[in-house]
Amino acid sequence: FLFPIKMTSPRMIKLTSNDDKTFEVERDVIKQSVTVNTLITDLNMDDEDVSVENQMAIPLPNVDAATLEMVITWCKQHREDPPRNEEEEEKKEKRTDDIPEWDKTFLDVEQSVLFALILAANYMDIKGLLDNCCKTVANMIKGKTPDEIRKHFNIKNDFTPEEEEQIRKENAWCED
Amino acid sequence: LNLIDLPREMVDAIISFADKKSLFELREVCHATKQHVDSSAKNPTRKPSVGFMIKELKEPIDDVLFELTLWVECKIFLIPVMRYFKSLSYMGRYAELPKEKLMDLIDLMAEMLRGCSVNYLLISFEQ
Repeated sequence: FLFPIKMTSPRMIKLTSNDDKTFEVERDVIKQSVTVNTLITDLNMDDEDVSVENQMAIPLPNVDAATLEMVITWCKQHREDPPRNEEEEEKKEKRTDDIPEWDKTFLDVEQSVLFALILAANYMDIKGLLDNCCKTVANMIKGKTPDEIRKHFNIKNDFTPEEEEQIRKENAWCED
Repeated sequence: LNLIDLPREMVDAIISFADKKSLFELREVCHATKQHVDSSAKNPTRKPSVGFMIKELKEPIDDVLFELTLWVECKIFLIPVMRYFKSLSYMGRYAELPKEKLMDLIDLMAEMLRGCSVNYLLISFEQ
């Protein structure tokens, strides 16, 4: 006997960026976003009777298309990651030398892009992406003098010389 | 979009991965980061030493109290805080501490002790 094999295509979800671009993404990929996942569940979008054509797109008013595309790429890359245990993560030592190689390359982008990704990861509640972005920025800060930090992030020094001296005095005792 | 334009909780997330030295450097970058780092009690921006504590005893008592509260709120410097209390007692400056604030501090310290693991206490006492 030959049994017909039922080929099921992966369930797709539509996401719309704040500049009105719609992306179709596998349900299994976007589950990493707690925000989107909650919306899908709350709106009963997992109902198999609804085809992707008739499906409502989830609006993401805080994320532009370019950033959303990057977020989806990151989620695809990390779809097989084991689910995070936030309690365990909280207990873990805060390290910045454990960013996966793929993420290091992926996050080697202009600062404005990286900050937009941080905002998107926070809004979409994707902890893994948010952590790796924050670690990348923390690595940019580490080992730099205040002047180098200002230069790197294009930050204007708004301290008066007196205020600067006062902070140096406040910080001095910490370096024992 | 700049580092200091990010919402507070985002900068918090970033500095939670920065080392202590970087936090001190960040305090010197601009007003926004200084205020942020100082008020981010979750991140231990202060590393008190006994030497400093003794020196600080000469400061006005309100400043001393502020520092103490900050350390206690950081929930990490239990032993230095206890040593500090001992020093205050030794130098006869307990009397200067407003009783109400002193009680608040003791409450906070008790709260800290309750949350400490045996391992943490052992490591702290080795300092």
